[in-house]
This record gives sequence, structure tokens and C-alpha cells, in this order.
Amino acid sequence: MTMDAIQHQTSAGGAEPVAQRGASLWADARRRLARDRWAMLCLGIIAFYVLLALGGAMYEALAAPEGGIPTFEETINFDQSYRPPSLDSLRNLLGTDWAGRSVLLKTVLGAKVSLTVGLMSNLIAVPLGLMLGAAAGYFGRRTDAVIVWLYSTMASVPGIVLLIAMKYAFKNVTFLGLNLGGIHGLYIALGVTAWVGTCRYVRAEVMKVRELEYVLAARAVGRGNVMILLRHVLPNVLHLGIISFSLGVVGAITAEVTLSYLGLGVEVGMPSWGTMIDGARMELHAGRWWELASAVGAMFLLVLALNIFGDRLRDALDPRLKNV
Amino acid sequence: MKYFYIISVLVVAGLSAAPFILLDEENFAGGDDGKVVVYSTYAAKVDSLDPATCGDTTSAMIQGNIYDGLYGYDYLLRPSTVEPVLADGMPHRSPDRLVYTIKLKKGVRYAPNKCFGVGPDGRPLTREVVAEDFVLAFKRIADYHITTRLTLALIEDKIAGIQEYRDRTRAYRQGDFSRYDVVPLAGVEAVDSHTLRFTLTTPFPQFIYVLAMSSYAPIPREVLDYYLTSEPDGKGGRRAVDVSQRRAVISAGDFEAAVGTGPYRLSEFVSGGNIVLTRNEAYREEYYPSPPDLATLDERHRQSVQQAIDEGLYNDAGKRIPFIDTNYMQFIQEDTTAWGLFTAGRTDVSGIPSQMFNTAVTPTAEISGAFRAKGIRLEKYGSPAIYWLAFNVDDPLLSNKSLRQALSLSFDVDRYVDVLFNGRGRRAVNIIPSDMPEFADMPVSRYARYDPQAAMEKMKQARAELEAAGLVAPGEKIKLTLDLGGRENMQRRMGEMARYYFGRLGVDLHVELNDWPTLQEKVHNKRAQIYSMGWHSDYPDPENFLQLFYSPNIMRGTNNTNYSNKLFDQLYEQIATMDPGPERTAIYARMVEMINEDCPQLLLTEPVSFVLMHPWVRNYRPHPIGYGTFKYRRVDQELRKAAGGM
Repeated sequence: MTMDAIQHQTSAGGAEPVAQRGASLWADARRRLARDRWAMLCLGIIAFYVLLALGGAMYEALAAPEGGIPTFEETINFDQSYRPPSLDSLRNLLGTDWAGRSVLLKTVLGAKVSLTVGLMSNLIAVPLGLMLGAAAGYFGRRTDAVIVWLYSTMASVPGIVLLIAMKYAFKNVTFLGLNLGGIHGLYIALGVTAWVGTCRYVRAEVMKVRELEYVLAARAVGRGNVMILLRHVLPNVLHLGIISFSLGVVGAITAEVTLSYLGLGVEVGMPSWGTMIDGARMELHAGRWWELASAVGAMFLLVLALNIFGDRLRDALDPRLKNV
Repeated sequence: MKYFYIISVLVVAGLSAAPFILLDEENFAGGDDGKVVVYSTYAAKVDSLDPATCGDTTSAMIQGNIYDGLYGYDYLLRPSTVEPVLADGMPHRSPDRLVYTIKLKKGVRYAPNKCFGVGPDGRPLTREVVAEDFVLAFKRIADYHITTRLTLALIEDKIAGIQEYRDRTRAYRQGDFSRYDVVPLAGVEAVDSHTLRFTLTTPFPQFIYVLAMSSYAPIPREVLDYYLTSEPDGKGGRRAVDVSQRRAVISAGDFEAAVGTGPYRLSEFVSGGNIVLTRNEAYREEYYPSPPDLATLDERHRQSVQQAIDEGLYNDAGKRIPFIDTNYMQFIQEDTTAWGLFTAGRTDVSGIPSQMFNTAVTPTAEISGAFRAKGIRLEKYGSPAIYWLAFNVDDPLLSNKSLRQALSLSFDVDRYVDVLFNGRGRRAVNIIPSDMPEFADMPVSRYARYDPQAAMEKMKQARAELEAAGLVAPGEKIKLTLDLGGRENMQRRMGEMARYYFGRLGVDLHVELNDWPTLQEKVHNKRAQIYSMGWHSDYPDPENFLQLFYSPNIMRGTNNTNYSNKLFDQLYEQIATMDPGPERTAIYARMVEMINEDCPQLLLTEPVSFVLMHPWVRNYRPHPIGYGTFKYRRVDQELRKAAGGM
């Protein structure tokens, strides 16, 4: 078998039999997802949230102090405080908060924060988990021992305690011009605490993959370890990263909400679902339910959609379930 | 398998019943044994049980019931009036105003405690208070090894020999208490067992108010010898602690070491947990105040007495105090939880959470019909305190006066009081609380108003000055940081309001939410730019607020805006020795005007508290300055039981 052939097989799905009708693993997964109505519905919901978040980002980019479009802060109108939801205007559709700001706008901007947090933290956590897991699984021995020790230690500390500790540690720290006391620190704190799960899955999978014939063949023809890892092993465990990513977004969103609820999340002035829930929970005593309901409802729908989609994605990418 | 199901059912049933068995009322309350018991809540942790280190209102509230000072305040007279507590009459002051001689009441005893030994019946003993106990208290405050928060700052340069005492005690090890026997404190002497003499370095008209603080209460030497030089050995006895390991301060873990002459003692104490105050069995004969002869009073005092008579606050005149045997205090930070306990009748008195304000209080600030129908009463009272956003005038940007003035003009304080406090506060118009008699003669700050237009003009001037000084580039946004103490909703909303109003001036405000110790540390190390602060009067004299801007007090920590003005300092040194009178008041006014103009802080509010109490509560009147007022409270137990209260 020539090297090209090895590469062809590698990219087509590794150890499992080549997909039926000649489709690649990815094409097959895409086809199976497309046939799954629930997965498509959830994907639609996620896409809707992404559009909302993009809309929020666009609003923030266009709004300028003293400009035509008021910034979120400039929409404060204390005379409009605590207006219940009504169909009078778009502003009042979901009611107003303590400062007279639209809860609808706050929820939309909260979606931007939540999705950004989910995305950014997983952009740190998933590659970290993939690389460390692949290195541990492939090299074994001391490398494996060190990485297993590291993630075992991380896993032995309750996640929320670790997050809180990191948020405190980042207070007043500036790195590359970024204030880590704010949302950037949140990305990093969530990112460096959430890689353990990905690392474990990838390590276990790589331990299997490294013994497969095409890897042995690559080794036999003199390919270096790093090259084998990058060209032949990692592409075959990448689906684990994608699944971790989709489920990790859920974890990051809920962690952001928890941290904001504890007063350790986003900066003051930045709307997020966590700060909305924290701010509105006491309002229930006074019968002001709409802000809490909006934030919880928005988070519930997104988390549910991400969970279901992540689950279906895992099924679609699992070669063992191909014919189910 | 049959047994498995039976055991499972029993386990589930047992677990389900556990809360009802373990958390029944008797366990919660500890049983009342026919005694008068009340239940209350507190929201901030108690930092100190040692009078020498008392520096926050929660600690003072607890300590005020345990320790008595030489003087205190009449419970019902307003404005606040000093009266003797452990002193037998007012002090005798020498003609040069430098020597105060004070006789002590005889027969005053400490709360029984093991440190005094144990009687044949196994009960702890007590002993009489003597003048040497006050000398020891002042020596501890002056001690180099004890970090006081306020007590030393108030007397440091006023009582003779304090600095020498500090210097000499520095040579001793922290745990070597022989320094209290060997090193004399020149300014505090025990003339005989019941006579004290204070020698001052300079006339100090406010000295009587200092002596009215329970932080200067007597400390029996036995407390140090028993609690600080030994520790429990785990077998019911005590073992000696090596000198190198000894603490110099009564810590929260040693709550039994809090031994005073007050009406209560601690029988349980967990900082941030339950606190139980129990009647001091050895408390002297004290009686509820009787109304003074109205003809002998000035107009303001007469009005306050008449009002108290009308409200039935003198109905218990002449009766022996305290009325209440035990006070169970639960640590509850969430005001809505504390509110829930009040509405369920499990506590007697409560503040009103902002979310519930409109339910409990009408737009005309009266109690709502639903609460009135239950007999609940509303008490409104102001406190001699002012809250502000302090500017660190050492900061390069905030050293610019125009910028400080612009920020002051830009913030709508009335709106702030309305939105965040449901109107429970008055806009502060200068640095003197409005219930001080001298307030009427103090100038109102022209920057204590909301004027966006004027703020914008001031901001233009500030920007020009900052650009000229090279501190801000043309077109660059002015960036400032506001540090707030706390991470609750209230602080977050305060931060959002400040961002909104300062943002309208073009200021990019970053808000940091800190816990209280972190904020204090930042302020102490001058790392904060703008920060939330306030001052609650220690005594009813505007001097207590003016000293916050005296530049030597930067080192002592009370001047935390780092404000420095030579003329202000000269005037302060002048008034510091002046007795009350029109001349001193005129100088006060000049000093207040300087602060008005220089704006070292953005004045916010004078707080107004709204308190609800159940119909069975008697004699409740918060004191603006004094803390040990719980001994006057009474509850009508029959009424409480009939109404379904705890």
C-alpha cells in the first residue's frame, strides 16, 4: 500500500470499515443528521440564537454614545421602570427592568454574551483537551502519567470552586492588554477548567487508534511520531472534539450564569442571563416575574437545543451506530 | 428481600421526618424555660469582640450590650445627650481643660466568668470594677502589639504619654503582658480604686464623647491572664501557652473572654452564625429612664421628650432593666429571608427589603393598611451618617478639581435614592449630618445638585486642564474605575447608575465589585480611584466629620480621600481645642465650605431607616449614636403568644 492510500483510508474513517456507498464519515454523519427532524429543529433553534447574538453584536457595534442608535446603557429610563410585558411596543414586549430598559433587548444581548462565552471558552478547552488527550494516549508512559495526574487533580476539585478561585486570581490582572477581571478572564477560567472531559475521551480513543494497522504501517515506513499524531491519529478522534464542543457550550453557558449569579461573572454594565437571573430573583417577591422568566426561558431553550443536538451529533459521528 | 423493603421504607420515613424532629422550634430557640426570649437577625459578620479593636457598626452593636463605658447617651433625649454610666457623675475638668478627674460608681461588677475563679458551688465568680481596669483598657489601646481600627486614632495625640507608651511596648514580645504592669501610661492614672485621672496634651472638647464609647470599656486583668495566657487542654482543664504563641487580642473564637459590665453576656457566638446574648446575672440595679422636667430643657429636647411621652416610650419609667432575658440572633444576609421571618412572627423587628417596600409602605410613607390591620407599627428614623463616592485626590486624574466637580454635578442623587432605596434617604448637601445642631449654620455645597448642563461645562474645563497637563490625549476618553464594597444586586445597580451618569459626560467608567476587606485594602494602599464610603458619627459633633479631611489623618487611615489643604489643617488644629460656641461654629462653616468647593467626594445620602415592629414590641427607639440600647427593649409576651408570634 502506498502512502497516498494510507492517507486516503485515514481520512475516510480509520479503523472502522469504510462507509457504505463510499461516503466518508463526515458525509455520512451529515446525511444522518439531515434525516433527523429533532436534530434539525434543534439546529434551527441554535441558528436562531446565533442570529440573535449576531444581531446583538451588530447593535452594539452600531450604537454609539450620543449617536443615532442609543447604547444599551443610554436606553435607561427610570420613569419606565418595572413595566410588565405588553404588546404596546417592541421595547415593552417582555417588559422593562429596574432601570426601565427593555428586557427583550437585554435578553438578546445576553444571548450574545452566553454564546460568546460558550464559544470562546470551548475554543480554549477543546483544543487543549484534544492535544493533551492525544499526547497522553499516543505516547503513554511518563507523558501519560503526567497528563493523567494533571487531569485527575483538576477533576478532584469541584468545578465551581476552581472557577471561583480562578476568577478571584484574575482580579485586577491584565494580560496582553486584556482585563482578566472581566469577560476575558471568564473565557480563560472556563476554558482551562473544562478540558478534562475531552482529554479523557480522546486519550482512551487514541489508545485504541494507535494500535490500528494504518498507524502501525505509518510507523513502519518511518513516519515520525508527531507527524503520525497530527496526520493519522488526530483526524480520527476529531469527532470527539466536535461532540465535546457542542456539549461544552452548554456547560460554559450554565457556568457563566452561575458565576454571574454569584457576582463573579461578567463586568457591571454588560447584560447576561446570569446577571439577569441574579438581579431579578428578588423581584419575584414583588410579583415582577418577567425578567427572570425571559432569562431562564431563553437559557432553557438554548441549553435544551444544544443538549439534544449534541446527543444526536454524537450518535451520527459514532461509526458503531451507522446501521442503527 | 422482604426485610430489604421494610428497612427501605423505614429509612425513607426516618429521613423524611428528620427535619421535623431536628428543627423543631425548641431546638431552634434552645428552649425558653419561662424566660423572656426574643429573636432577631443580623446581616454583617461581627469582626471584633475586643473593645480595643472595635471599628464597625455590627461589632459595636454586639459589644454595646456586653461592655459599658464611663459614659453613654440618654436613651430617649434628642439631640443625643451624654449621661454617666460607670462614672459617678460628670467629670471634673481642670481650669486649663487638660486634666479630667472621674469618680467611678461603687459596687459595679463584671459578668460572672471563670477567669475570676469558681465558687464552691461550681459557679463562676465575679469582682468589682476598679480604676486600674480602665488604665489597662487604655494601655491596650495604646499597645504597639494591638492593631486598633479607630480607638487609638481618636486619642492618639490627645492623651499624654500615648506615643511613649507605644514606643516602649514595642520592645516587648506580643505575648509578654508584663508590659501592662511595668510600663506606665502617663495620661491615664488610677488615683485610687474608684478615681480615674486623664491628662491631655491639648484641650479636647470631644473627650467626653470618646469616653461615651463602649470601646473604652474597662478590661479586667484576669481576662488576659486566663484566656490569653492559657488554652483548653482538651480534658476540661487549661494549659499554659508559651509567650511566643500568645495573642494580644480577644478573638471571636474566645467569646467567653468577652467579659464586661453590660446587661448581657455572650452564651453562644459564631461569627457569621448564631449569636445568643443572655442576661448578665451580676448586672447592677439600673432603671428605665423617667421623663425629665420639661421646664429644664431647651426646645429641641423638650420636643423629643414630649414625642416620646406621646408614643408611650416612658410608660416603663422607673422599672428595672433589662426586661429581656435572652436574645437569639441569626445571621441572615438576604433581606427577603429576614423579612420572611418577620412576617411569620419569628422575629420582632425588621427593615423592609426594597422589593417589598411598596407593599408595606404607602406613597405618603405611611404603613400600608394590610400591615396596620395586624397592629404592625412603622418607625422612621435618620442616622447621623453620610454616604458618598470618595475620590482619591492623589490619583493623577482625580487630583483635578474640575473633574471632581463635574462628576458631582452629573449624578442624580434624588433618582438614586428613589430607585435604589425607595426614597429612604435624604440628599446630603454637605459633609455634616442634618440632625446635628450646627448643621443650620453650615453652607450648602453648590456641587451637591443634579445639573447635567453645568456638569458638561465643568467637564469641558476639566478635559482642557487634563489635556494641558498631558494626562489625557485630545479625543481620548477619560477612563476611571469605581470600586464598590459588595457583590450584591444593590452594588451592581449602583455601578450601573454611575456608569450611566458618568457615561453621559463621556467618562468610560469601569466598575469593580469587591468584598469589603478587599475594598478597604485598596483604599488603604491608595489603589482605588473612586470608591463607595461613608461615615457614621462617633459622637454628636461636626468635628467628627471634619477630621476625615485633616491631612495628618491620612496616615491614621480616617482621611481616605487623601485630601490635603494647609489652610484646612490650620483651621482644624484651631477648632480641635475650642469649646462649643458661635466662634467655633463659624470656623466649622469655613471648613465645610472648603470641602464643598474642593469636592473630595460625591455626596450621596443621609440614610433614613424604615423599621417595622410587631404590636408586642415595646420601648423601641433606635439611638443615632449609642449602641447598648437593647436593655430598654421589652416584649409583651402574652400579646406575642396570642398573635401567634415566636
